[in-house]
This record gives sequence, C-alpha cells and structure tokens, in this order.
Amino acid sequence: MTKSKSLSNEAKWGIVLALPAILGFLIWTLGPMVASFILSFTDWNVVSTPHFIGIENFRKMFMEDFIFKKSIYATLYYTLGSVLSTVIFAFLIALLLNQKIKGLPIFRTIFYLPSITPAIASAMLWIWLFNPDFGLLNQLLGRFGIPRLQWIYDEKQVIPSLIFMSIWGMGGTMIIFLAGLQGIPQEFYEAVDMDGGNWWHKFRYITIPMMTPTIFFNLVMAIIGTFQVFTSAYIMTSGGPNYASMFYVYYIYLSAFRYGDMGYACALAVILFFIILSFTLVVFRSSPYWVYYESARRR
Amino acid sequence: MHKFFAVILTLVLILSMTASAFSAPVELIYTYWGSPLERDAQAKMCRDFEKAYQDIFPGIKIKDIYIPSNYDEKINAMVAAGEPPHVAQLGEALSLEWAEKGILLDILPLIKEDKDPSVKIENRLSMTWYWYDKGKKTIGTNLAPEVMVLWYNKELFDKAGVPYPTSDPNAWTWDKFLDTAIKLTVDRNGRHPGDQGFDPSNIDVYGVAFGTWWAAILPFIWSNGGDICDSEGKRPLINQPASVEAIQKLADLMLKHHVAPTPTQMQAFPALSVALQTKKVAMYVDGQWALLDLGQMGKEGRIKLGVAPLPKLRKPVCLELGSPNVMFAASAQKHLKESWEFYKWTTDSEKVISLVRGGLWMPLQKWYYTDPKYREKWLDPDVHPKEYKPAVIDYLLKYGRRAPSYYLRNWGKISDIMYQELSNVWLGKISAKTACDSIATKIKPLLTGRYDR
Amino acid sequence: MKIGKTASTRINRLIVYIALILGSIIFILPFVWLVRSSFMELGQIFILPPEWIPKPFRWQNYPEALKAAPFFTYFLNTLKILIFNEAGVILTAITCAYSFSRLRWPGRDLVFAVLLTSMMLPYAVTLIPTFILWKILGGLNTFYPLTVPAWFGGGMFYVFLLRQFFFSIPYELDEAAYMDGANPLKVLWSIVVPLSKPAIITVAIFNFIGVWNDLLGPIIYLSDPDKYTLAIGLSVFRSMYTAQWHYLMAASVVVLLPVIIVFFIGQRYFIQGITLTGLKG
Repeated sequence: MTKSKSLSNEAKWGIVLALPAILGFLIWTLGPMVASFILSFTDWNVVSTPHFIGIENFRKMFMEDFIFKKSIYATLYYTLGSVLSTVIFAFLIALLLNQKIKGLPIFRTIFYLPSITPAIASAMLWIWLFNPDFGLLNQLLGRFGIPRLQWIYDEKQVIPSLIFMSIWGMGGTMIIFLAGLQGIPQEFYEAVDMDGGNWWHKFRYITIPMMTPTIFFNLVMAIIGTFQVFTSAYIMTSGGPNYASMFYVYYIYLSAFRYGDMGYACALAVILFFIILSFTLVVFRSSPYWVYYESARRR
Repeated sequence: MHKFFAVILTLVLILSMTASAFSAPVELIYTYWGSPLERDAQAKMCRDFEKAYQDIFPGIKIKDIYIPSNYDEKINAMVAAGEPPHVAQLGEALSLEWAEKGILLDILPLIKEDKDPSVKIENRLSMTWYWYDKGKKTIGTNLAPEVMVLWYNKELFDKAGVPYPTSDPNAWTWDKFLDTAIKLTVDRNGRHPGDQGFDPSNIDVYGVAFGTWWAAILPFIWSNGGDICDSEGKRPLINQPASVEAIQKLADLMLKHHVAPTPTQMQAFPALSVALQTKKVAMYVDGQWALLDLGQMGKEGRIKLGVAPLPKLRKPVCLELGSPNVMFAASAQKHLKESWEFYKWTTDSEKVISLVRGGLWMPLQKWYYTDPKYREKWLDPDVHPKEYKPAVIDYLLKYGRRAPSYYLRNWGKISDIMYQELSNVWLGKISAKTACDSIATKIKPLLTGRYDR
Repeated sequence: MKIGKTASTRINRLIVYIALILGSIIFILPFVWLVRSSFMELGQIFILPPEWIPKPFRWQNYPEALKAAPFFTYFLNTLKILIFNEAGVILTAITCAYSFSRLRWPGRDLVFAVLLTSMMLPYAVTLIPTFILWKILGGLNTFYPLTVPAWFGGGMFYVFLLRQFFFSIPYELDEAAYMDGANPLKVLWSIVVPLSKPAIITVAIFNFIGVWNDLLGPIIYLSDPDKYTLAIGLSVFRSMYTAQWHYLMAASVVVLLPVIIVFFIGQRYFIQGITLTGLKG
C-alpha cells in the first residue's frame, strides 16, 4: 500500500461514513433554512402568497421596532450570564461527582433531576422561590438582614434571576463533563503521582488540558442553545415585566404564530442566525489556542 | 350580483352532491383544543353528527383532531401545507386576518340560502358574529359566548354580615363594591383595611381578586366611559382621563386599599376558583367559564357560590368574548354541503349541551336566553347559582359589548403591549397615567382601523 | 485517584460530602414538589408558603389522571418511536462523528461547520417549511418525521459531542491497528467505540429523554389520537380555562419515572474510568 493510495482510501471511508449527516442536512435542513432566508425578504403571513418586499422587514426591525431592541438586549444579557455561570458551575459539580465516594449514583441522579423534571413543574416551583412576599429566597435573605428583592417581578432583576435559575438546570452540561472526566486515562494521573505531584498538578496539567475538548463543546452548545432560550419567558414571565425578559426566540414565536407575520419572524431569525454564528465562530477561531486534542498531536 | 352568487352556489352544491354520490365517502377534518372534558364532549358531538347524517351523506366520517397544545403552530403548518381542516376552532387573534386573505369561508351566502333557524344572523347573539370586509362578510360566530362576571363566596359574606352584591348592574356601584371589598378583607388579626393597626402584608382573606389581562381590565375602562381607541380604531384613547382613572382605580384596589392581591401575592393561588372555595378570596373577576370548576364544587357542596355583574363606574358594561369556529375555504368548498351541515352542527348549542349545562360554555342561540323553556335546558340548578339569570343572562343581554378581538386590527399586538406596559402599574412602580401615555404612543402606529368598518 | 489515609484527605472528603448533600437538597426540590403535588388536592398545591405533606392524601389522583387519556397506547407509541430513533441516532452519530474526527478527507472541517449551522435557526421559522417537506414526502400522520431523521446523524448535537470525545483518544491506537491491516470501520468498532462508552451512553440517555419528552414533533406531525405520544397525553391537563394541576403532576410522575430509571442505570457507565493499558497489549 502506498501512502497516497491509503490516504484516498481514508478519504473515501471518511465521506461514506459522514454521508448520513450530510444527506440529512441536504434533505431536511437546507431547504427549510434557505426558505427562511428567502422569506425574510417577503411579507409572508403563512396563508397568502409571499410578496418580495426587499429589506423592508429589516428596516422596520432596526428603525421602528422597540420590542426588537429590548429582546436583543435581554437575550444577550441572559446568554452571557447564563453560559458562563452554567458551564463553570456544571464543571465544578462534575468534578465533585467524579470522586470515589459512597452514594455517587444517587447524587448524580439528583443533580440531573432538574433538567428532566417537566418544565411546568420547575416553573411552578421557581415562581414560589422567587415570590417577593412568600418566596423562600426572600426568607433566606431576610435571615441575613438583606432587604427583599423583587426577583422576576422587577425590570432590572428579572434577567439576573433567570440566570440564577438556569444554573440549576445545568444537568446536561454536567453529564457531558462527567463523561469527559471518565475519558481521561488513569495512567496520566498515575504518572503525576510517580513524579511526586499533588492534586493541583493533576488538575492543572492533566484534567484541564484533557477536558478542553469537552469544555469547548459545552461552551459552543451553551451559546447556541441559550441564544434560543424560550421556555422561561413563555411559562414564567410572558416576556415581562415591561418586556424586560422578552427573549428573542419568544418574540419570533409571537411574531410568527400570534401576530401572523411569518416574513418578519424569518427576518428576526436571520439576524439571530448571524449573531449565533458570529459568537460560535469566535469560539471556534479561538480554539487552536486553548483546546488540546490528544489525537491531533500527530496530524 | 347576489343572484349570480346563488346560481354558482347551487351549481357547486349540485356538483358536490353528484361528486359525492360517485366517489368514496366524505371525510371531514375538524380541529379543536380544550380540556379532557371539552375533548370528550366535542368528540361525542362529531360521532352524533355521523350518525344523524348517515342517510343524507352515506358513509360520512368526521376526523376530529384534538390538539391539546401548540395549536397555532399546527394549524399554521396545516394551512401552509395546503391541508387545512374543513371546520376548525381558531384563535381570535388570527381569524379575521385570515378571513381577509380569503383563507376562511365567508358563510353569509350559505346562511342566506339556509332555512335552519339556528344559524340565522338574527337568531344568534349579535355580539358573537365576526364581521369583516366592511361588515359585508362573516366567518361565523364563536363556538360559545363568554362574559366577564364577578364570582363570590356566600359564606364569607354571611360570616362578615355583608349583604350579597346586587344582581342589578345599575345599583351595583363602585363605591358599594369597594365598601364591600373592604369589609370582606381581613388580616390575620381580624382587622379590616382602614382599621387601626391593619397589616397589609399579612392578609388572610382578600375582598376581591382579578387577573391583569385585558379582559379583566377593559370592562372597567369601558364602564368609566374610556376606551383603548376611538370607535374607528384609529386614535388611542387609553391615555384619556376616563381610561386612566379606571386603571388607577383597579391598581388602587391592590396598592392603596389593600383589598385585592397584587400579581405577586396572587401567585399564592393560581387557580382562582380554588382560592374562592378555600376562602382566600371573597369575590373575583373572571370569565363565565370558571363555572365549570366552581359549579362542580357547588354541586359537591364545597362552596356556596354566588355570581354578580361587574360593579359599574359610570355605566354598566358587560364584556363578551370568545373564539370563533370557522370553515376553511380551500377544503370546505370541496365538500361544501357536508362541511356546512357539520359547521352548523358544531355551532348549534343543543349538540354540545353537556358543556353548556356543565358551566363551561354559554349557548349561542338567542332563544336559550329569552325563552324560559330553553333556559331550563341549559341552566342546571345544581351548577348555575340562582341569581345567574339576572346577574349573567340579563346583564349580557342588556349591557353586553363585544371585545375588541371581534373587530380591531392588530389586536394581538395591542393587547400584548397593554399587558407589558401595565405590569409596572400593578407593582406600584409607575402611575396609570405614565403607563397609559406610553401605551398610547406605542399602539398609535398599530391602530389601523377595524375589520368590520 | 488514590485514596490517601491522611487526616487532611478525610477532611477533604467531609467537605465534598457536605457540599454534595447541600447541593442535593436544592436540586431535588422540584422533584419533591412534583411528587407531593401529585398526592394533593388541587387547592393545597399552591398554598404559600408551600405545604409538604399532602392532606388529605389523594393517591387516587393517579388512577384518575391515567383515565383521562389512553396512556398505555401513548406509551406503546412513544416506545416505537423511541426504539427506531435511538438505534438510528447511536449508529449514525457514531459513524459521522468518527469521520469528522479521525478520518482525513478534503473539506471535512468546512462541511462540519456548515452542518453545525443547522442548529442556529429557531424552530418557529423552520417548522412550516419542514412540515411542507414531509407532506411532499408523504410522511404526515406517520412516525417517519419522528424517526427517519435520526438515521441521518441524529442531529448535530450528538455528532459534535461524539466528535469531541473521539478527538481525545490517542491516535497511536488507530495507527497500530492500521498497521495490522484494519480498515477504518474496524478501527471504529474495536478501538474508538469501546473507549468512548461514557460518551455514547450520554448520547443514548440524552436522546432517550429528548424523544420521551418531545411534544412539538408529535403534535405537529400526528393527527390520529391513537398515534399520540405520552408527552401529548400530559399536555391535555393544561388548557386555556382550567388546569387540572393535581392530575398533571400525577401523570408527570408516572411519565418521569422511566426516565429516572434509565438515567440511574446509564450513569453506572461513568463510574469506571478508562484504562488504555489493556488495549495497548
């Protein structure tokens, strides 16, 4: 076998094995994506023929629509806060749950529970926790002499409150970290032991570098997912008070299905697409500087 | 023009009938939402139709699709894919816009052709018709009318020695109402608002409670002579003194008089019916539909239920609202005769009388209100309180006014803006005047007139 | 990590336990709230501050809730969708992720990036075009829209997740196998998959939960009530005019239990770390 022949063989295998995802994209995703982009230049309202109206939707969005501006602000604010805090918190909990201690399966299940409990049950519980008059959080704050907060009932406090709540739903991110921690070969730690290193050396020189691919994944997914946050606005705050938690995708949903303005909803979605894309690209571009791939060493 | 239409219609009818004679049995699609109770009643209504029309339309089937959530998404998708249902329940926000685009069938010609009294314009509550194209076309009526009323727990009145609210909308004034609410509000030390040492942060029983969505607020704005916009739907009136005053009075109930829970305090009882039954609240403003739960409680002897009109500020007003049942043009025209008969069936209150007797719905046909024999059919003495007739029926017939969802363009957006802007009023952060000025500015570009004028 | 026997290690472990127990209390709260609500009368559920002991104890919420819809049929439907979906996701997400991480082919990373963009448009705008597509393909009111896409990579989330894990496996292992004349599929099967069990289990669990709880997909594509799924069954308890919270909570507990069990079993695979020693031979 010559080198070049084996390479082309590898390429053939590569394309064949990736084919399901590529075909899936071409069949089910590309069409709707292209359609959304085209429809963003129309006045389509689902029931009538779309008319091409140029950049009118975008003009309206940037020049006239005060809800658009509020939703951009709310969503960016929430995303930045929620992504950082959930990823960090999930990583810490995963480290704790990766110890060899008793009752581990129970602890892991408990920490994962909030992410599988039906959203409506969680929402009801948090509505109580956040309640300014009877809520547990204000009762706790009161113990420490801290004045009551209004939580989700105040324009300024609603987003921090929802960020706080999002930490508690970090189960999925935590599980992925946990799986990542399990993928670190034990020999690496043993090598540190042999060199006389302590837990900090293990953490700094083995755990962190070996976990960077997983951190990278969780970061990208958290960005993509959090920008499209919907449920908390839909169930808990209706986007209020005074539009302070009008998350972007909730506004898209309202425009599309409540206000019957699908063309405008598509235009909103296109803007969101490019916002998410640029954030993702920044993370991707930065990855060579901090993400360490074991298998990439020799490539 | 009219004659021409009739000819076409007859042709279509003949064609569709001959077509159906030769082709496979017709299957009509009907989509609807609702609780399990509504699901069962509506499914039964469909089966009853199949049975009743087996001779006229042999083999006819109703494919009833019950969509318990994400209704708007599904119906949009079905319409966009060119597979709309024949008959459907539809959210009021989109109905008239779709009607204007020709997606929904104008049923006025069909009504004129038909002799069935249950569908005649004059035989249904006039408020419940959805008119468009300057009032020349209609997509039909609500599936069921609903009105906003005041529910109350008689035991709390008896205990406090306060007379029940009168059923006469003219005598039930705001001052009497406020006085009643104050007497019924009790803090944990047994004191009332205004008493020395009354503790507004530890209230045991609230005199009254109301949601902060438009239907609970608008009747008071109207009653005070205010409105959201002028009768042409062009100019905002929400920031006029009459409107502002009404909203401020409602906010004062929570913030100044402490007789009503604020939205955050209200979270202690998301099901208002239960709050009434468990004596957390003595009166509450809600739709007639609450009778489904309340009536059941009354039947089981868990509550002594009373009902009254809403208190008047200047003149009595009764807000009537609901969402329409419609026919989709593209599919219904293919089987016009069958679809029409089925449509009539769905909006004939007799066919869903179990939901009406249960308290969830009100009937559409006028004779259910005016004719004592028909009233007996749906007023269940175990469910409907005995003052129901004056407090709800007469109130509706005399002072009924249809909600803006029946005619105002951009109603979805306008009501959402009101909800958002007013949220800070209920929290006591801004005055009603500030919020209303802001609403007026924001809804101005959305006030582009009415569908029916 | 070796377990030391010094005093400081013991203190460390104590701190870990305390942190975990305190955290657990906060994290288990919604579940406790759900379970206690499922045994309550409607009126007791929302009393503030909450009461934790149901009074009266209404176990009959369960049979009454399960009577409101044919839950057994819904369960079978969900199971059918789940089996086909899960098989497709596991199989094709693995092969695709393998290709995108350990095989070199021209344009690979660009193609990956393009595929990733499929997650960046919200469902609200792609829903209708996708629905129309399924109409053209004749898939409305069938399980195909809910299962067939799973056989095409199963969504980029899973492909991306596995790709990251496959990256962290030393490439020397592949090379050694290639030297022995193995083809890529063999390398995938005998080296990559065994070393990625935690990640694959994670994908399986996530997909299980995703399918189990998916409400939008079934409600959009299915029209026959006898094809409905558990998630739709749950949604009947919430409607515009009434919410039967006590039934909703009871049915939710029933629907949630299998998920907890699956997770509890699945997480076992995270316990053992991976050792490369055996494989290197």
